[in-house]
Amino acid sequence: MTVWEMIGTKLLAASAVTAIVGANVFHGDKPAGLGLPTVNYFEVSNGLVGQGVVEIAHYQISCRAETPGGAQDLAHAVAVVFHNMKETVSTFDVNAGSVLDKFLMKEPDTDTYHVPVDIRLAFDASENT
Amino acid sequence: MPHYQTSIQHANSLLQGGWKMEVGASAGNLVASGTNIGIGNMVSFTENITQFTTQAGNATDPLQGVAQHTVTIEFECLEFWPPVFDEIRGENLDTENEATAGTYVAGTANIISTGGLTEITNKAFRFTNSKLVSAATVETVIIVYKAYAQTGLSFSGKSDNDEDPVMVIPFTIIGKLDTARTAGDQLFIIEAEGGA
Repeated sequence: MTVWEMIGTKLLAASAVTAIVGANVFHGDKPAGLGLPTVNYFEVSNGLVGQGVVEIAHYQISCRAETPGGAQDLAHAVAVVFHNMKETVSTFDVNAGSVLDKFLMKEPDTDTYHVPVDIRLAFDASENT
Repeated sequence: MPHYQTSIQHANSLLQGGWKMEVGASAGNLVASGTNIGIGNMVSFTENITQFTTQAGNATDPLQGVAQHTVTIEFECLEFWPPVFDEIRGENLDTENEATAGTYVAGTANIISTGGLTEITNKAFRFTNSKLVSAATVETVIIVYKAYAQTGLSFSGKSDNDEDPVMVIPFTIIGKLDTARTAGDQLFIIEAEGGA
């Protein structure tokens, strides 16, 4: 299992998240024309430490909704999933997950609200295959 | 294709993250009912070997060995919990009361007061690191059989506006030989499941 598959699996298994977005969880860009709320996520950076044995992946999980409160509620549900995470998702062992930051933005072009949740995950590089 | 000088010899032998910290009367007591020191972390673990040498004067020194064998462990507590402070210091140096009426605060308080006693009793300490390997928790445990607090309470205030306003309470303990145990197993033990 790859790290992006693990994140998607974890989000779709989180009832607090799916209660808001249903199955609208996407890796990469948000599909054009899709209604809100949605979650899409992508890798921001990825580095190897410990002589290449341990991988540190940073992901942005974009939470979008039509109202600021809706976006914040969704982002909070997502943040709770990953903060202080230490668990096995399917077969993927995550040894330390943490939420680095999240903040509310208004996207004026579409008059919608966006909270990017930045997370960091540490795991053995051998997991990410 | 990367070319490395070598490769990892023992899978899952890298430790990640911090330690759970516990204190108890003895190693056996720790396993049965140790007191969790709470959140915080072990900062450093240093084994100290003071050596003796027999000097020849006109040739290579014929003999060297260990004169004094101790271990110094520094750790930090974040929880301001006086009963744990008392236990780390051996429980005979302080007057400690849990959940009792305070003299100087209005409500129920945990109280430690000190000064006038001289005994620092030895305690056993356990530090546990865990990581996940193939969905199983893999632990590395350090137990110091007999240790005493080397430093007293020490903490510095933070600004209300500090980005991390939580006060940290550091401790340093010294582990010494527990001569009631078998030679070769008197100071500390490390058991590491990782890679085994």
